[in-house]
Amino acid sequence: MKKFLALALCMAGLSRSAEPEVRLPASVQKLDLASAEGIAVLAGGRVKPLLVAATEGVQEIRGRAGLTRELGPMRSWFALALHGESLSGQKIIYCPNKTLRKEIGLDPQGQFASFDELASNAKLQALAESADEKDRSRLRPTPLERAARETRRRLEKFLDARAGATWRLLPGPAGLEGEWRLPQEVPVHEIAVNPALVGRVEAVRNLFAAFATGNQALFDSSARGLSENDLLTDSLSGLGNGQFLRTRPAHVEAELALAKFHPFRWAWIALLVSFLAAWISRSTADTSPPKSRAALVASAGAMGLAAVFLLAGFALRVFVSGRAPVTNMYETTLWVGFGVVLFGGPLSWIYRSRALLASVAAAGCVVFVLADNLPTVLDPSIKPLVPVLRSNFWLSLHVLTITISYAAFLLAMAVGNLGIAQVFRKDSEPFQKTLAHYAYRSMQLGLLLLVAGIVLGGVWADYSWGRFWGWDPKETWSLIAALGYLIVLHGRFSGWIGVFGTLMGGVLAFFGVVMAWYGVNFILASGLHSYGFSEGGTAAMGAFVAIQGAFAAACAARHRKANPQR
Amino acid sequence: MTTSSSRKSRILRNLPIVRTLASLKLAVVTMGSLAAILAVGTLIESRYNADMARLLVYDRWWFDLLLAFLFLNILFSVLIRMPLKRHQYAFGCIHLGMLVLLAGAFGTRLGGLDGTIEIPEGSASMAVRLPETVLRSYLDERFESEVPLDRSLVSDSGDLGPVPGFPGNGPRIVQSIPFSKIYQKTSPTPDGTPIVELALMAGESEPIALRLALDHPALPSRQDAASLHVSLEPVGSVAAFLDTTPNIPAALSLECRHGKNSVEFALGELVPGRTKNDGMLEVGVVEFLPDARIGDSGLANQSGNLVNPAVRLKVSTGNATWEEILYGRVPGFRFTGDAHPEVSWKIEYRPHGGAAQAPTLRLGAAGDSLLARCERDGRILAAFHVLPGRSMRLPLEGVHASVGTWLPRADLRDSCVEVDPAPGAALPPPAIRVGQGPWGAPRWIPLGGFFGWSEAGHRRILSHEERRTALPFGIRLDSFKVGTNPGTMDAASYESFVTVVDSLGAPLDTARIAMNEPLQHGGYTFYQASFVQRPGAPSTTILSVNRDPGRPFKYLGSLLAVISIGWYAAERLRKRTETPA
Repeated sequence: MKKFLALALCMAGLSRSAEPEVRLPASVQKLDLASAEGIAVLAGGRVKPLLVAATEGVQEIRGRAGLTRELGPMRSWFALALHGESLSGQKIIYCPNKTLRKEIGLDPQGQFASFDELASNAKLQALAESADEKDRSRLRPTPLERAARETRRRLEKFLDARAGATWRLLPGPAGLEGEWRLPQEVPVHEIAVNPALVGRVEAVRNLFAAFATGNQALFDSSARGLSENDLLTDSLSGLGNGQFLRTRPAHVEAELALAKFHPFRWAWIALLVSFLAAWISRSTADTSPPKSRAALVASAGAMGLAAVFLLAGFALRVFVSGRAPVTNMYETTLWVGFGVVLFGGPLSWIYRSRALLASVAAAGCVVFVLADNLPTVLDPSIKPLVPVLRSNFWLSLHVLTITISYAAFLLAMAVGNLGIAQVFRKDSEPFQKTLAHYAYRSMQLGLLLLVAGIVLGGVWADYSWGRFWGWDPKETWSLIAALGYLIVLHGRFSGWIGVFGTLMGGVLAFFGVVMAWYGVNFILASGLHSYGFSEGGTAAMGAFVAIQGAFAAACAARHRKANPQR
Repeated sequence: MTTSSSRKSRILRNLPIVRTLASLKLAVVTMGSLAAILAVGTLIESRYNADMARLLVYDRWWFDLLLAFLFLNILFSVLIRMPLKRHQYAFGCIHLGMLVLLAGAFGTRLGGLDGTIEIPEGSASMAVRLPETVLRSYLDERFESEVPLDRSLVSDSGDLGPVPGFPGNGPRIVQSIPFSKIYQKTSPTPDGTPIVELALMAGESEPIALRLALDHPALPSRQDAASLHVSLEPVGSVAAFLDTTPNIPAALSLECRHGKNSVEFALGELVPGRTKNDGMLEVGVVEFLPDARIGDSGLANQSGNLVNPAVRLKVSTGNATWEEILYGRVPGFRFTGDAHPEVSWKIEYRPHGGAAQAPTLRLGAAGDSLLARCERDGRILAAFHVLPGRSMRLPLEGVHASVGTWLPRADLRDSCVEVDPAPGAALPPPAIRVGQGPWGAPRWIPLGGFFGWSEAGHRRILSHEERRTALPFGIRLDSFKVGTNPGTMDAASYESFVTVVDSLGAPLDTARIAMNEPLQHGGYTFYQASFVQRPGAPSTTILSVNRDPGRPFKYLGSLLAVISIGWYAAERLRKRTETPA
């Protein structure tokens, strides 16, 4: 468990390396922007609160949610619209790929580049276009070309932000569902007949003026106008039905709550508390009375609290997106963490096991820390679905089942690690035996879910792609993962592997899951599951595999030394 | 009965082959090998592509053998435990489910169909392309026979099989290479077809090389390049092709729109004094000049031919009245400029000949000579004889064209060399070489290529193609739509609106095919797989077509396996009160 935390901290440390300073007028610091956070805006194909649009927008340009550490997303978003010209020459666009930097003539050590130097870089454009061309010809772009395209996307986002083209605050004739418009796009004849629209256009103008001049009262009143105004639909739809349109519907409220409350962050904090308390309450043998009963109760309570945070978080996310929360790497990571708590909590209760409780808390905590702190790898934004994933019951069921099986395997891996580590302690065999039993049960549960998930995937693929099975890398790796666990279970059944072997199996077979879950999308990046493809985190994942492998090898060596007859 | 069956099972159990096949350790080894091989397969797919992985792993005979071995392994692990005891029922059902599932997979492999069908908007097709290749022979453009070709991974030579269309000791396939690079060479032959090679140069950019051919399926007879349509066509009458004033009647119509009111004039209605009105809008013809010219004394008519039509109109909207002059050849021009934006005009003028709207370079093959005609916006701009090797400045988009090769009767010859497939790129096509035939020296035919020769007054063609099979009905694409998310260019949906037609083209059924919304008809299922959209060409939808006799087995096996795994797990969990491990 400690390894994970160290790794997470190490990665967090890496992303905080030295970076060039960003210069902005002092006026941007003046105002309190909280009143504008809930304004509804169309961004990335979806209506969302301004806070979320700003966070995602700044994240996309800067690689994290603020131009500087102090500035925050809202202030950065306003600054980009108002001081874009002066920011164009400053190194604020995230461009961390060393090979790309070298190729296009930037300092390979840096992480950022300025708009001016990137926009005029012909080599970057050529690489990005080559990636587009390869996509059109159904070929795979090289990592360098993909990195160039990623940088070009950040560049375009900066251009949009600088031009103010990201502030789509005014619903169009199709109402909330259709195209929203920039203030300058609204035709004069519409404004003339709809006083609410006049107010809204006026409010947008005042909002920027107030930010530029530091006028808090004007800022708050225009922000309030924009977040609370109802629009008469007459002029929008031409139907003359005299109805009002709430420009800030319930899902925008829910998303604002999600963005401000950070339930998944609170979940890992609660899980950390649960882990520490379980650790304090531990005694040498798992079944003997705990050293501190209060600590054990606290641990269980904290885990319960974490479960509440998670349920609240998922409920909000599902309400906002209107679909199952398993459509990208970030969501599946959350879902796996949730599964760990969902399975591990009751199992710890059934077996009355503190070791299990601690393993669950630790594994869950690591998962949520990663999800909360690696936004460039695990993108938390809620995006509209690609066509192939739209409105499908089987698909949701398939992905939910597969990823929840990963949770059971993660639990088996955590317990397995705890188990194999016991070789360094004396008289730990009974405890190891208990842990092996937990790991075995977890693997059985996981396998049940994984096989069910694969079959559901087959049903969906048959329905959607016309074949039940097609040796697509994602399909194939989920089968390989299942085969890995089948080997462990059959090996145990045939007597080939014993207690230590089962624990080790739980640890090593998880590599198959890592590959099926992360590797196919991030390393192989081929096949039909292309909507999940992404980049980044390879070094961290490599470090995890290396450390885990080395630890398993050390335990195996120690085990062999202690039991030479095997 | 019980005694006899238990004796049978005891005998079975004691057979060494049965004991080996049913052993758990063998199962572990088989599953381990399968996992390792699959992992290699995915790495190949990642480095090359799915076709390569199929060629190297999933479509190999030994891969089927490994799965068959797994099937036997599972089968015997159950058989050896027969008759099953009560606590083994769940185990038995899981493994039975796996067996049925694998049987379904073999069923698909043996009798399934998995291909694609490409349909341009407005057309119908019943030809399904399959991922296999064949060598086909045609006699006088009619299909004669075909032989399937094995897609191997190594190059080979010697006698590799017969050539279709020649029974007995006829021509043979003498060489095959799995991945080829093709060099094409044109050479004159007495019974060839016209081929022209030309280069287009627009501004500073690199010249674009085109090769057009007539009646030659391997080469196009029309292409789009440098914002021109370029085409090659046979010419019957040279004089008619070079005549820039052909006698197809010209036409003119105009429409005036003011708010919700509009009036229209056809050519015959453009008579001085004719007035039309709609609501407050009133338009009257003051003067009509079929062939106008601006002289010292204003507009004057040159002839009665509709060459440069101009019309003088009196327009009234209730608020204002003014005089307007419009020209057929300059539909954007307004005599009054921007003074009356409330009124919009639509002028349609087609001169004699009905020439193309878009810039077009039409090449005409007339015996040994090559002709060219430039057309644009309904006008023939120029028509002339082409001198090969001489650069021509075309009155189109500032493009220069230069015909490098003009062969009135030529043959296209492919020459193939073996290459290694490059990572991340599409696989190069395979190629075969056929010899000992009436065509003389052995000839290469790459996938997608062909060649033909004349024989006793007949024309024969050998062609290396993807295997096609015909559906018992056709699919017509009525329209294709790509929906986007609001405020973005990201695709949100792909939809093909199709009509199922019988073999004579009569409609049977209409349907919408979208992602996750397939069409099922006549035992076949059609899925939205892909599409091609290019400017200036109709959208083409690509549907995958599937027929799977193993499907019921797969569903049954999956259902059985999942339910019984659940059953097994429930039984185990019930025993949780027992001492752990």
